[in-house]
Amino acid sequence: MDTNRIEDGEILYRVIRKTCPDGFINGKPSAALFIDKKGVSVDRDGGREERTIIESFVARFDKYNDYAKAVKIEAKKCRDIGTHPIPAPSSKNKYHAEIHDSEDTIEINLLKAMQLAKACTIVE
Amino acid sequence: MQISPTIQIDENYHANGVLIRHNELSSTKMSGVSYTLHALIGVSLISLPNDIANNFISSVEARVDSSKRIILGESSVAGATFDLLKIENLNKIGKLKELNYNWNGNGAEAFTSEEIELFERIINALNIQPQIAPTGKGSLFIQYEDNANNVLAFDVSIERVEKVFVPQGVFANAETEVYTEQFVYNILQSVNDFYGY
Repeated sequence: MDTNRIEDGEILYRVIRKTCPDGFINGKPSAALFIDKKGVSVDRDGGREERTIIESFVARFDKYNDYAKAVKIEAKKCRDIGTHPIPAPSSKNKYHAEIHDSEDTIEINLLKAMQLAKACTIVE
Repeated sequence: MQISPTIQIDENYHANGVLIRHNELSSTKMSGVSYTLHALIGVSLISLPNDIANNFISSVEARVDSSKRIILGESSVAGATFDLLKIENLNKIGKLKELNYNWNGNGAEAFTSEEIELFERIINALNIQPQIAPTGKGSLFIQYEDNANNVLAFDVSIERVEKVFVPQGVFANAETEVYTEQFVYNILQSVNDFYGY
């Protein structure tokens, strides 16, 4: 896993928590899930199987009974939309990443957020 | 029987202990009826003036239109309506008051009273209700979508309103605009234009 760059083929996963207000509309992800001043927090696959990734989410959030579901999107798709996925590893999570509006702007604008919502899929 | 001004309808279609004749409602051939009643259950309490509440309970003449509005029949209060989606939206906004700092796990601030009041003012002003969802930056996402896949969306914050119109779902043809004042007026105008009023 390249710690300096997210490869186009990597899948980015965004966790939806039970305690958060519903960001879905008519059962589909909405742009609300991708609007945040501090960047959209995701986990990169880093070469892991999806099952392993989801198990890590459950282990991290469900101990507080707070894991609802996840949505996913390919890094290339994020770049096609004009957003900027970047690694943002922490001491607790080396797979942590963020999606920014661009290299210069963190907060994703409404149009791009709507496109991300349309492009992402729910992890079953 | 003393009827209170608020009505709670349970899963067996009892309202304040009085059974609403479920079979008759089902026979109105409105596929959304049961869903609408469940939406009422989800909302929990509907505040109605006493006279409307009394007649609603005693009357089974009700129909549901495509916008999930219950229209009370003539034997009750003729033409009286209450907009379920507006009630749902106001409930959603009301729940935002309960969110504390870091509610999203990423340092999101609690919603201020000014933000809540702005969101409520917008929802109360809209004759056609949108779908809504709060964002991690303390704004409210508002969306309309018609049968032709045209989408009208807003990101509403205290400082500004960002608007996006996506014709027929084609993002390449999207139009965007930012409002820094007269938020309610501009949103209303945009919604009216969207529906051709």
